[in-house]
Amino acid sequence: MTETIGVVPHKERHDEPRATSPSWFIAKLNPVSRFIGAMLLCVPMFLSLDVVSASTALLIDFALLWIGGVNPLMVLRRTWMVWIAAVGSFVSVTLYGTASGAILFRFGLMAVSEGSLYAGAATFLRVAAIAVPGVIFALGLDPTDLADGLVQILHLPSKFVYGGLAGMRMVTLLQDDWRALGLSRRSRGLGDGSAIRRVFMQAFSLLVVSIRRGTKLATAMEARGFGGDAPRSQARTSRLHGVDWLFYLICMAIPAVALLLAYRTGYWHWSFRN
Amino acid sequence: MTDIQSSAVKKHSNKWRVVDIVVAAIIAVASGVIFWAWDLIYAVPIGIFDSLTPGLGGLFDFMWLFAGPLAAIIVRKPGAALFAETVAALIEALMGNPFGIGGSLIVGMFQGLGAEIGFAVFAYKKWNIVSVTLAGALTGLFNGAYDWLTHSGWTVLQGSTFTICCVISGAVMGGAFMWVVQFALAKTGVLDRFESGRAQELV
Repeated sequence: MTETIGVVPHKERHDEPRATSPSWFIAKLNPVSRFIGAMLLCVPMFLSLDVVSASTALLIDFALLWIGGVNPLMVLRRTWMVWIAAVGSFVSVTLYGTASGAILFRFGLMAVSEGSLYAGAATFLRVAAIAVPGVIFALGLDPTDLADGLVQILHLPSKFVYGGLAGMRMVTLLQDDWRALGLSRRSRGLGDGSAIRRVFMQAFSLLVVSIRRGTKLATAMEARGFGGDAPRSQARTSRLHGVDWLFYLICMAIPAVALLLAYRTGYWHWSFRN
Repeated sequence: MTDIQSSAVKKHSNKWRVVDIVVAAIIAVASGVIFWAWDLIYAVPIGIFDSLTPGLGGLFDFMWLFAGPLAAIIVRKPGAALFAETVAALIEALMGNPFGIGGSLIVGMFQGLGAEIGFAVFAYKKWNIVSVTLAGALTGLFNGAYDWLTHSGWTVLQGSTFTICCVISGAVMGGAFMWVVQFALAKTGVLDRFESGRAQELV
């Protein structure tokens, strides 16, 4: 009994192109630019702790992302984790921040004062202003494009970048392994005890499986000449275009405008001074 | 025959092989997935501890601190800790986390640098429980310092308690415990191609 399995030649297969970002503007950028842009956006914001600069930056972020094709509702939906983290920061600064002004509430070591409440609110807004654009930039990013950019634009050592990329490709395999391990352990009657213990034991097995696969993969890569001393040629080119430089300008302008506004309105508060 | 084997075991090389890079990357990727999973739930334990006490939430930060020490103690090459912690933070950012590209990557590189110093102070010659614990502690220190820097509203009490908790958490769970994990991994035989896996056979 013979069974035939139809296989489409690879040249006739066509995959739907996957959007590399929900924003048409960000999708045009080199992946490396998203990282440079995120750094340019966030590092200057650490300088001042005040509500004006943080909320201005946050508002501009939302407006520009909307122009870029990501509406505020979608931004909120995609960044729900940011807001939880921001609430955590708000609570810790409000309760244990440097007290100034009238004390509103005191219990043990906790002290909520006008000053700490203000600092808490400013921290909340600043955490959001720093993280929201960064989270949106990361959506849909293709790791291979990123690796090409890291090697060709930032000139990071290609062995490490592509070795890292090879590791990154294991994520989907890890998910399958995790399921398979769970099933095989169950079939042997393991793992009916405490859930925490089960997770730890299974995580260890996963580590064993993935290191074993990694050493095999390394042998295969070496067999194909990876890691040799000869210079590496590039199959795909990764370059910066005008739109990338425009993006950097925008990313520098947002904190500049926000901080300048805070300075002019007198709200500027140098972060590293109590 | 035994001579060749024992000389292979004793000689430590700081040169990266392909297998070192790939395995460090895979450990980093697996850690990054764990970081990301922790991002989904950390707000509950850390939030509770940080609101009831000034800074004890830092004790739970080890869930972000182990990638560098673990990769470094397994592959034993200069730069392994920084490489692994950075890649793990990158994976965490790409999977979608609460800190964005900037926040996650900057703190990841900070932590990796801390772990790296732990091994560098021994000139990359000591790969034992002492160096890995120091690396874990420094990972925690750099993590605590970064958080204090970004939460400049904290009082000195809150900031220093938090940082000390991070150091303890990093040293115990991020460092010393990774030595135990490495030992257990070596026993399974998957580290045969590494110095970390061969050391045990000598005894």
